[in-house]
Amino acid sequence: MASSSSNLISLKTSDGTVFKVERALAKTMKTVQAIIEEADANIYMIPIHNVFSHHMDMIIDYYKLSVAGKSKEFSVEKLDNDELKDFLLAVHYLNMEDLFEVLTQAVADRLEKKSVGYVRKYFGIENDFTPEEYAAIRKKNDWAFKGDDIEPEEDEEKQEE
Amino acid sequence: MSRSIPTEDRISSLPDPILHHILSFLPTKFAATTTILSKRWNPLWLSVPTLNFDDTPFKDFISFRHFVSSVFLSRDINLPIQSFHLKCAKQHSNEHDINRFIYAAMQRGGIENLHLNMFGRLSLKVKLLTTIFSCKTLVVLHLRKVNLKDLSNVTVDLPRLKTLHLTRVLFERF
Repeated sequence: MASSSSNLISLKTSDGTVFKVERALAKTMKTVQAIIEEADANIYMIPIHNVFSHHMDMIIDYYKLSVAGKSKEFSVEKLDNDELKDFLLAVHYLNMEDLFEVLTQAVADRLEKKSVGYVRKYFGIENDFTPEEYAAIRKKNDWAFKGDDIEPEEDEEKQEE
Repeated sequence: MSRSIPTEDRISSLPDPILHHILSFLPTKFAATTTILSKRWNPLWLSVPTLNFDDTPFKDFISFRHFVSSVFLSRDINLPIQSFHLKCAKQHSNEHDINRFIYAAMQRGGIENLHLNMFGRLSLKVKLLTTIFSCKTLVVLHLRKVNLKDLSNVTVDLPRLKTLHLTRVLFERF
């Protein structure tokens, strides 16, 4: 298939897949744009580290929706937290402003109104405070933890399932 | 029952600027609760460049005022505030205090987004009015149920303003 190569940029993901994307899409990736501009001659293929083919699929989906004025239809609901985090890192690496906003908002949405215990368990954040430090911080910021805008604290002790 | 497989800290392996950005979408009260997650998370919420104050979860204005004051006192005073959202719906909100909060936010410099969402009426005092309407960095301004008195005596100079929403705003003696 003969491609109008001046309109397409080849991007190679970490897992070795080559995507031919429209120049306009490549332009939304500031990292890629910088590589293109720095290259003396026409660059044949741009490797994009930390970006996998399943990320590129979603990026292309988002791009197509945006071009059609339907960017609000883009959803990352089906991604679990690890997948969302990895995708966020990929988009951050590529320096794609709009999609980065969408993904950080998505992570914020998953966190909002949840109790501290939930947030900690859900994302696997280890509590490295001593019980005394923990109590002191909790007391100092007591106002933050009160109110019906967040779930009540879960029992911090390990529970028998 | 202890977990036999240790869970890797997924979200914390994101660099600080990304965590700040995530926290910037959350109400400040909620962001403050992340302070207890871990040592790394402890100071993060204080350097988020966005402040989002909503009095809804507070039982009265006094406890809301205490919260807002605590946040201002805890933040590094040299840290600019890029976005400031204030929503006040409580009865008996103190107009003077609210003016003070907004003014304190404007004083930090660099503010780009200002959203004032009032349920009772709020009159902006002259000093604050002048500060807002001559803010060189302001890009987005949303005012709801705010009284602007004697605006004709105030120099309006908003060179970077791109978005202006005025909802039920009262211009007095214009």
